[in-house]
Amino acid sequence: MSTHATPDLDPACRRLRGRLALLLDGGLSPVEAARDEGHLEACAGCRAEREAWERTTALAAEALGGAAGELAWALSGLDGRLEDAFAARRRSRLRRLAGGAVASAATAAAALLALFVLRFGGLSLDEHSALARLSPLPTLDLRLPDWASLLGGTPLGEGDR
Amino acid sequence: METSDREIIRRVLGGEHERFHELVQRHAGPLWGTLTASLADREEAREILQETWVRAFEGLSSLRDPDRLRSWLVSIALNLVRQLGRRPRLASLDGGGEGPGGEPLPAPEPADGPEERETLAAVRAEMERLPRRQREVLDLRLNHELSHREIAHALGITEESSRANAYQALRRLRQRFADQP
Repeated sequence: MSTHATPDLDPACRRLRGRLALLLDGGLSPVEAARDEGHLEACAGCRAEREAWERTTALAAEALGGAAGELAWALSGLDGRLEDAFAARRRSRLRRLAGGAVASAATAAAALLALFVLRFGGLSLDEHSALARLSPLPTLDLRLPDWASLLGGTPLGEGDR
Repeated sequence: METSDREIIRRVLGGEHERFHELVQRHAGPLWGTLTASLADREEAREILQETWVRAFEGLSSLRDPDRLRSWLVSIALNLVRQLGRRPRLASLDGGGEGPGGEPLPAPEPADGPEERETLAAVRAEMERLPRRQREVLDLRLNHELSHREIAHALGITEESSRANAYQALRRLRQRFADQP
């Protein structure tokens, strides 16, 4: 990946220059990078080559950043659009909060209803009677009459039961 | 110490919406560089830049890794460019285009001296001749300082392809400009 024909280069220099871009781009392992840095310290020619790559990179970065002068124009009007987006977010948040409050109230009401049904919906006969005694409504007498005594017969004896 | 993107995002999501402007201030420049390098029409680039920020705010809660905000923003912007329905035309890197009303846009920040300005103009001209992919990769690498992994994710290519494109682009520029002061 050397950039110039370098037939007379030392093999170590040729290897380093072949991957100099990778070294500068942080693409080498720490071990490989340390080895190449060691070579660079000792080799002025390779150091000059590294500086040339660094200059190129800096120039390219500067050229890419060249449009920054237009930025203020490009951003004009954005504040208003963002304010609209902020307001929409606030409204949506309020709606969510309000919706949450309604849902909480509905849940609480449903829970109360469920408690009521559980408490009073499955009562036994005695419990209903006990509840009825507490209420002003008339109650039913659910005891069966003694039919035998009503018809003139003898009441059922102990042994007949 | 500068507040991290992660912290700002946390606060914005917590209801401090105004802090979103800090993210705009921090990242709009490189994003604008990417868009103007991709689109010749400055008005389109401007619309996409602003739409990118609005969408970023609206979708901020979906950003899984706040440390990758920059590549996320680039992805939104490039998707919007693709949605224009046509391939982006490579734009002149010289700037100095026209605004919506035909008014001249401000020129890029001037370089230090005439010689440097000339060099930069030549570099920009050379970059315009680079293949689109090489130019995109170089922009994301040098302008946004994204890793090759992030570039690969943003452009839908492999990391190796990202590295190779960056290398090819820089090699071409190096052959042409390395001896410039």
